[in-house]
Amino acid sequence: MLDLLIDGLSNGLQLALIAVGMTVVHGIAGVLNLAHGESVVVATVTAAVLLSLGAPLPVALILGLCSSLLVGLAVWAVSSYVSGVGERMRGVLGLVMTLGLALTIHGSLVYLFPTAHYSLVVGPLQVEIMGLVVRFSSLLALALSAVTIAALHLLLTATQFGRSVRASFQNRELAESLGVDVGRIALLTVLMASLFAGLSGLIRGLTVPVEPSRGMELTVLSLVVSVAGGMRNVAGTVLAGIAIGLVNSLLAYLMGTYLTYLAILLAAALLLRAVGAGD
Amino acid sequence: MSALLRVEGLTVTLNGSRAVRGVSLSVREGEVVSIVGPNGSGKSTLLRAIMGLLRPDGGRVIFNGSDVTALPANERARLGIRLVPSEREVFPLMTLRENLLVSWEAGPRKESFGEALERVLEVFPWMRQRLRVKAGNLSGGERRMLAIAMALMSSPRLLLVDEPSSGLSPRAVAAVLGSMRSLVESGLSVLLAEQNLEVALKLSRRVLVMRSGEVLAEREVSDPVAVSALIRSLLWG
Amino acid sequence: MRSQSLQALVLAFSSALGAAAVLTDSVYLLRLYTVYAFHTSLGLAVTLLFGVGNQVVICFGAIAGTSAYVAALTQVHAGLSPSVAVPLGLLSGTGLGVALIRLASSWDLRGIRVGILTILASLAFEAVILGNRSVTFGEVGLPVDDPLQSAGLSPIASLRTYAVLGLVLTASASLLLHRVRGGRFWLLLTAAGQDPDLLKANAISPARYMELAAAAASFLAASSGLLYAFSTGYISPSTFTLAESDIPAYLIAAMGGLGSPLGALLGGVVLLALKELTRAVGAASVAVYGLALLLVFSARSRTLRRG
Repeated sequence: MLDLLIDGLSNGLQLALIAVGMTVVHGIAGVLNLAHGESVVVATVTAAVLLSLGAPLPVALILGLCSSLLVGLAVWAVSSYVSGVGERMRGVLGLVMTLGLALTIHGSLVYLFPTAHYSLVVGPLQVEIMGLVVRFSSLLALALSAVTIAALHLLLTATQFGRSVRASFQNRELAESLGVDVGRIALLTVLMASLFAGLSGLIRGLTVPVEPSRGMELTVLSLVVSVAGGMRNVAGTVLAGIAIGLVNSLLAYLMGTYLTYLAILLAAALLLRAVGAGD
Repeated sequence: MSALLRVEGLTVTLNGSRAVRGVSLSVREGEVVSIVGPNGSGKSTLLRAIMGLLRPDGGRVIFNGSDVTALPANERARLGIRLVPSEREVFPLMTLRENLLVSWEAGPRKESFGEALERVLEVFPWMRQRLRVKAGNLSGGERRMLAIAMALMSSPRLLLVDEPSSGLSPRAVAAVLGSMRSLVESGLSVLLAEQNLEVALKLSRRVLVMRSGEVLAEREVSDPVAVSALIRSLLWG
Repeated sequence: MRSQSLQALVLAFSSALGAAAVLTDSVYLLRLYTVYAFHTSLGLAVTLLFGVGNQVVICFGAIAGTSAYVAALTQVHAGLSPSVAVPLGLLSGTGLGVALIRLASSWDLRGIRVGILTILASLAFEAVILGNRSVTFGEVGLPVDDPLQSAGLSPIASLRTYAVLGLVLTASASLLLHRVRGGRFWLLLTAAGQDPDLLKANAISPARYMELAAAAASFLAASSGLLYAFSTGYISPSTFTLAESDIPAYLIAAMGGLGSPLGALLGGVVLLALKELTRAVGAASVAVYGLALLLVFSARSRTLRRG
């Protein structure tokens, strides 16, 4: 039972990491990035392939993150392409083109590396804490997820870059008229989002193997969390991520994956209504 | 004395219609110029185009001797122009202090943050106690004053203010007016757009009358009563 | 004048296809026609609702699937005859589409949020099908009793009928839309999509036109889904997913010009060619769809940027 809680919490933190990227990219670059889940999977596939070829762990992880950055660059290319388009088509075009990108990456990965399942096994199998026995890898995943979220928080609140990101996100025109180079911030934000997504995937491999085909599913979950968090609010997205991740893990254990999925979709729809108009 | 800002024949199209038609104006160093006109006359569009948030179809914007027409807004900001918008004028989820910090960080940083903050707090002493308040929780007048304070953090050379009195209670208007007057007295160049004639006449030395995207007339405010009568007849006569 | 010659061209084109369908005995060709009819109908639905009405609807696969599944399941589990099950299916599919659009307008969702709502609906549809294996047979799919064969037609004759019906449906929908183009309904729908507040200010209800369009588009999707399901004798959830139904529909609509019902017919041909070409590649066909989407839409946006 404790294992379930720990896994649920780290699942939630990982989801939050991914979803914050989606929310911020949507707010600044103006694109709903349906290829976001692929940033996660590209990192894990790269790492898995490199590990199977005998590369040392740090190299595999770093190159994995680099491949996430490449996806980020592709997304940024789409977003700057789309920004030149008129109001009416901009949203749809961004959605459709990132979906196209997602399908391209997804299809290629599944075709080229169908067996590149990423899984990390480190340390002892179990650890005893205060008389309770827990899986070490779960605990490690939780700790790493928490540290990464904290690092993201620090980045956004205590650095000039982070403040520029938040400013561009909350009021793009005002940021621009104060001197912020919003175009450059948009690029850096997209890259940052992809990086954290990739990182999240690499951490995830500690608790459960990540398959190359999981990209779309992660995109969907991330979208749901983003919507639940309000799409205009980083803190809300993090809370939503943790909540949905926990609920996802617990309900899946009780009700089975599909019913849980349905419940989450319904919740997202209702929250869509609450956040509703505008954008 | 050459003008700090010169706008020549600026034309801007918004949503398919001409919002600004061939407008020319100039603002000299240390001058306060007002543009008065009714809703929809193109005042906001004009200011946003001068700031660089909108691309004009024709005409030029010359600031401090150089043609900035092709520059994006953030680069014009670096040169010393600041725009105080009439709505969405602050970062609502950030504290007062963070709003000011962001404004200072994005600017040319001629002084330290502490020095700039002190300078600005002298104009708006009430902010000292509210630095940790989220900007979204401030009242309308306070937000407007914060927006002006943010613009001041980088010691701009030219301040563009869009309808400083709009949406504010009379008390808030008086407060904003008071702070603007002290800024004006310290030599800041200001171009402001206003619907409220009295506010405009109280602050400025020169007034431009705008309607349907065009400048109808320009007058020195030597005799406020006469100028007021003229403007009223131009706009509503 | 030009539009009339276009219409004539369409009639000739569809008649040629229809005649070929009637005359051929090739199961391969007949299947091809049914696939064409299915995807092109969805493409027309997108052309109407998105191309004209500016509503980002990404759930036509779910609508088509709902109608097919309802019709099939009520036959299998409740023993209803096709003459009851088929209308029931059509009603459910059409109802789903109208309900979603109505929901979107009552929640005042604009732009991309409508798209998100419909994506959620598509995902929910998939989850319902896959999660209720005992009822829907899940990923395995549902075998369907072909009503025509039960009535005594030979397999090839029934397949031929479905192919012809599908082509007729597609062609008539396209012609009908083309007829309506530029007329009062078309203009009001365009206005409802681009500037609903303006309509409201003139005491016209944008919601009404949007719902009418949604009903028409959903009915088209629902019917084509039914025909397709019966023609293959088998319903698989993977047919009605986002990737397999909605993406091709948007591809077709975009290739056709996002507002040209006749263009969508040609777009359908291109998609069919794409599908056949990538069948050899198998799993990577998804990648090909993706690339095609990127290319077509970036070409489209180029014209949009110029305009």
